[in-house]
Amino acid sequence: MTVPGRAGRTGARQLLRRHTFLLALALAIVLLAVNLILQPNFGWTAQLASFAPLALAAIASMPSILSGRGGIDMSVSPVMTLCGIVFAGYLAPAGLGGIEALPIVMVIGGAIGAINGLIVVWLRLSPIVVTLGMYFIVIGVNLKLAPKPARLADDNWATALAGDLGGFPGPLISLAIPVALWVLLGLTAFRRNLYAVGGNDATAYTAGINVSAVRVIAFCVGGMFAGIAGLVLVALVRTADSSTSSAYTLIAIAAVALGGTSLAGGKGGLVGALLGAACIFLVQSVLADAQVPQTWLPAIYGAMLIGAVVIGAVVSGEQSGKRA
Amino acid sequence: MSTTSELRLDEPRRPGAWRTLGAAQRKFPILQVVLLVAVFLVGVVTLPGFGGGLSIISVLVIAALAGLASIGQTVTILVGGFDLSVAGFIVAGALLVTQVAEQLQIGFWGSLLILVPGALVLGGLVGFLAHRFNIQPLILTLAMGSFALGIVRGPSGLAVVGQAPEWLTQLSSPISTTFGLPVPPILVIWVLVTIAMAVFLRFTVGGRRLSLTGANPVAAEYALVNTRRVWIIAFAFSALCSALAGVMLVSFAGNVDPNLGNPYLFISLAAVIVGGTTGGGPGDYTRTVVGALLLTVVSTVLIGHGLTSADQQIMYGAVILVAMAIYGRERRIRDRV
Repeated sequence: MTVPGRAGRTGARQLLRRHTFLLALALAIVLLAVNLILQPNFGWTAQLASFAPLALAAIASMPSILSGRGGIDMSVSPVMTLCGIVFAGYLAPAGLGGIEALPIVMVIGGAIGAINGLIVVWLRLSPIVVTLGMYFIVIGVNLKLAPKPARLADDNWATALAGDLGGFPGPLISLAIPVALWVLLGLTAFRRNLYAVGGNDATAYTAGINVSAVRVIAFCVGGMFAGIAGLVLVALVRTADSSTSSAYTLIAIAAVALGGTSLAGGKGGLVGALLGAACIFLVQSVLADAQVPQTWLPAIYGAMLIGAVVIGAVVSGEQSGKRA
Repeated sequence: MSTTSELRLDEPRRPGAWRTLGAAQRKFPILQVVLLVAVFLVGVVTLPGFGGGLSIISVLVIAALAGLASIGQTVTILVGGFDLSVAGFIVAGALLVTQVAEQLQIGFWGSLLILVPGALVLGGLVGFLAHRFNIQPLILTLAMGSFALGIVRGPSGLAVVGQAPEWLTQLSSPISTTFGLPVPPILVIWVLVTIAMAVFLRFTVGGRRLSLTGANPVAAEYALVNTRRVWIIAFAFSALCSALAGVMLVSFAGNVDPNLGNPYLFISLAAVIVGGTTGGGPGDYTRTVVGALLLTVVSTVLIGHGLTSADQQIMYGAVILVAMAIYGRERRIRDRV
């Protein structure tokens, strides 16, 4: 919910506060230009294909963050790996590797998300503790389900999601699924209620919104997106490895924060998450091009996440030193 | 709400006894100690050799490592935060005293001169940023752990070949002795640290400021506590403890593996939460010690019965959820309106 501007704010900051994704947009454009200069043959389809899992992970983290109370879903990355393992290691060998696998992994992801949400509202625990517990549980399950990495057959339909689908870039289709779902949700009261709950849940409660239902649905929708992300990731890398269960935890949250979504909830959205993910992906691309060693990457991601949340906090003007 | 004395008038004795137990549980983790003894006895009965002297010392050494890795987590949870940088700082600390010390030819003590200020500065920065900009410390510590790991690993390259110095491995070898005592030095260190933490949190001004900041930051500000300084010190201390725990882990494992710290992230969280310390307090490090002992004994007994590391991870996740459901519940929305 928007806060009335205080006197003395500059016009630029006002604009940024209203359209929180503008910073990420500007950054993404600059980074894209740098990439295009460094790599004259910037293969769009291939680049989009390696961008899609990160973008989807960021989109999956977004709904629960929007729902407020620090609703960061730590379990997105392990759930992605879980869905990948289920798809490549169990569904495909059992003859369910077709397009029907997509709704199945979405149901798995959605169910885990819903469990997170239900624990949060019924047991009244902090979302971070719940999703952190779930993070450990799902990583353990992944290790049990796939002690060795599960391979996906090269002729599986899903590989088209990382390549060409009749001349049309496949990654655009995989990105279009959650975007379409999010737009459809925008036609219902849910999305407006989500922003209201994230802005101030007590106010939303007095306004008659079913706060608990909104929170559970937010976690559930995020889990469904994480399921799609898991499938798309396997389509790209062809293996599902339980040891990479936490690979997207940090950068997905960084992408959402960089995209101007307030980690306190109620502000931001899908466009921001996509642009934030684009920024991180393009930075990765520049680093790879400059041949920066792999071992430096944790330091760079860490610094980017710190930078993103601090800039986000400065721009949104949340500078109170007192914590209530 | 009626008071306890009014309830006792018209209710039978039983709820009164429960109430007394509940009140005692809030002061001291009785339930955890009872469970600890029970699980230990189950282990002695079902696993041959579990009750032997060396076996007990080995379990205590593992518990000491878990306990030492959870000091920082206890303090950050007491001020109302979380520390997800435990794993990152553990590996960073472990690498510094082995590989980096070797590469730069500065020796063990020379590398400590980098480790201590480095951890304090990075941890303090987290505390400052989290307080100044009202950012969830969870995110910042997640990022800072990654950053700390990266800046130590970056220059040294992928190959990890760190070896612990000979004397360091003596610290936590179950067969070593301390000044004639038949226990390894790490246990003595753990006991001393536990006493120091208990005295600090309970009887010093700094400890009271810490509790007050966690319990109610606004009230703490009115009581002239500089809560930002408390946060900076708490997170700097936590980072330092994690890095030093990394040194202890090197002494136990003998060499460094980049995944060395990963289990200690959830072990430290579980130890604190199972001990009964909740976000913003109440709680103290003694509870974490009980939590670390309980978790170590439980997982040792279960591993003896064929538990895999995957099962262990699932168990810790479930344990965090169950313990939080008992201790860490929040207020209803309708009560906050």
